[in-house]
Amino acid sequence: MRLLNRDDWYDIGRDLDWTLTYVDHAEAFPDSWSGNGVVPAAAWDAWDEPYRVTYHDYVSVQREKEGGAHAVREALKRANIFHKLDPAHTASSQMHMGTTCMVEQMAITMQSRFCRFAPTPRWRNLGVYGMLDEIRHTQLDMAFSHDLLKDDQSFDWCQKAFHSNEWAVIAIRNFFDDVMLNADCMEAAIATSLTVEHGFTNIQFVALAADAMEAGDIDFSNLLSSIQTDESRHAQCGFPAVEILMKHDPKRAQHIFDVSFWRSFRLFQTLTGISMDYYTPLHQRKMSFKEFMMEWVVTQHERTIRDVGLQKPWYWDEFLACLDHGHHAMQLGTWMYRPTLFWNPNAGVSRAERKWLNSKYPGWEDSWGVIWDEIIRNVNDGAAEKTVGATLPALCNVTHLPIGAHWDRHHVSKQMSVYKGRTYYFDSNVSKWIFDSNPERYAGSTNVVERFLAGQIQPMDLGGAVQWMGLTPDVMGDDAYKYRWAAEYKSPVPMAAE
Amino acid sequence: MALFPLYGYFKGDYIPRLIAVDTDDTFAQVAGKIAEHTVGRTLPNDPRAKGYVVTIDDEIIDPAEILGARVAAQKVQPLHWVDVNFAY
Ligand SMILES: [Fe+2]
Ligand SMILES: [Fe+2]
Repeated sequence: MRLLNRDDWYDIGRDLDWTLTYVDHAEAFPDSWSGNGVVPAAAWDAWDEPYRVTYHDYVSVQREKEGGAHAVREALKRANIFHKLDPAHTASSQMHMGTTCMVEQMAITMQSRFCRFAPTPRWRNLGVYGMLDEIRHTQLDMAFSHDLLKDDQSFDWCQKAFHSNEWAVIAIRNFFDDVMLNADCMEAAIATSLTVEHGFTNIQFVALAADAMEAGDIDFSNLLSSIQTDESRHAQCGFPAVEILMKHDPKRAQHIFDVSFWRSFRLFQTLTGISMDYYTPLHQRKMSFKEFMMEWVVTQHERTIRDVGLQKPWYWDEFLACLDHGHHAMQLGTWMYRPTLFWNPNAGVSRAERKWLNSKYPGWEDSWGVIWDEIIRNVNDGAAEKTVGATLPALCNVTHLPIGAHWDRHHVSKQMSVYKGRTYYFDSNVSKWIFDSNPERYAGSTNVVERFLAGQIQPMDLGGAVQWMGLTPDVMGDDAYKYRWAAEYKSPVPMAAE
Repeated sequence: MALFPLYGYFKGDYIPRLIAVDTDDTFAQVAGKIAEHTVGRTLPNDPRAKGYVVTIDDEIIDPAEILGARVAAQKVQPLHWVDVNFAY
């Protein structure tokens, strides 16, 4: 039997819908899941998929991709390249696996929600492929990490991280609980598909894949590239959704965008910022995190904002200023609290690296060098214990990240709100604004400091906290190069050699 | 005498931290407990400084004052933000 051409049936297929008679439409598609809100039913006729795909096309393309990805994986398993990789780079892939794999898993649920509850059958149809994509991403991460378990137990955190109380994982889980698991379809489309996937991760995967290839980690690079081809496709589902919401409820669309942009940015400072400017070996760095953000992420978001009629978030200038800083704060913080990590962080402040940092960030020495100097002095004085945080940092009640860590030491300020008798602190005036605009949404969660004070962490010291976070001695973070980089600071370098 | 949690921020440092103090502590002692995590760890000691100055909600606090008195007067809550700087 000859198959019909796609275009002969696609338009009928994508509009396949039922006129419900046994239940109310509102019961079958509750607003709390569809997020339809004030959008009139007829408006959905304007929802046009940004790409067309049929199950037949999808399966044959994905089959090829899977075949390719696993062929490389199998070949590299035999080549045993892991031990030849720079330990600083290895930390990037371990951090990625632990902080991303279960987000892919959460994305399956989000895409399944599109399949079932999206307000138009066209979108529900595409949700099926998005869901299958995210299953594939989760499984690829798991397979990659499983292969490397024999080399390094840190890869166990690919699966373990999201079942632990590790602080960075709590921050990430909190955000994705909010914009993937708890969000209705409209909100998920704008916060996750448009802002996170299209605006950040899609591009980040390209950059990470390039860095990994440069570092000789063909296996990781190959995995990221394969995943990215799916992301760039299904992330586009955010566009028709935001276009419709802009016509009928632009205020809501803007609010979702402003909130999710800041929260994604804070996580990107934490993960990608550190990875690019500190973990990527110096001679392999192509772009600084700021240059990367300016050239790709900022441009991408500016184009999106313009194309769909959104405004730049009100904090845009502050966001641009923070591009020079926040990830340096997160680098310092993660390195100082290294026993709370499941990877070995590179300090990344040897004289040569420092020169590079100063060339990319002219204010680096004054904001960050001062602090690293004190750390280096302690390392070289044999007082490395003084370079590990001895008490918990104050944490934000929205992002769950350390207060002050979005900018630098000249911009740490008390930002707080009192809601129903409880005091909440924030890492920035933007996070405070996020909380104040919808306190009920954030008020119920407690951060690590509050859980500590509530007695959930025993014994009540940093050792107890590390144990509570699930860190075991075999994976607990320590300096990637065992502090060898600090030795060169023992002798002052003549100016000419700098 | 009771343990009391504060958020302590030493001016010029990059983050504030959870600091466990005692309600019997003077503010000079509170300042010392906050400074311990910064001075000599993330910022160098300042040899010109004569101790520390504590500021709470923009008010400079007498170093001899006892924390517990301020807690009893409900002017300091658990996790209150306390600023510390070098005194000159
Ligand atoms: Fe994905
Ligand atoms: Fe995705």
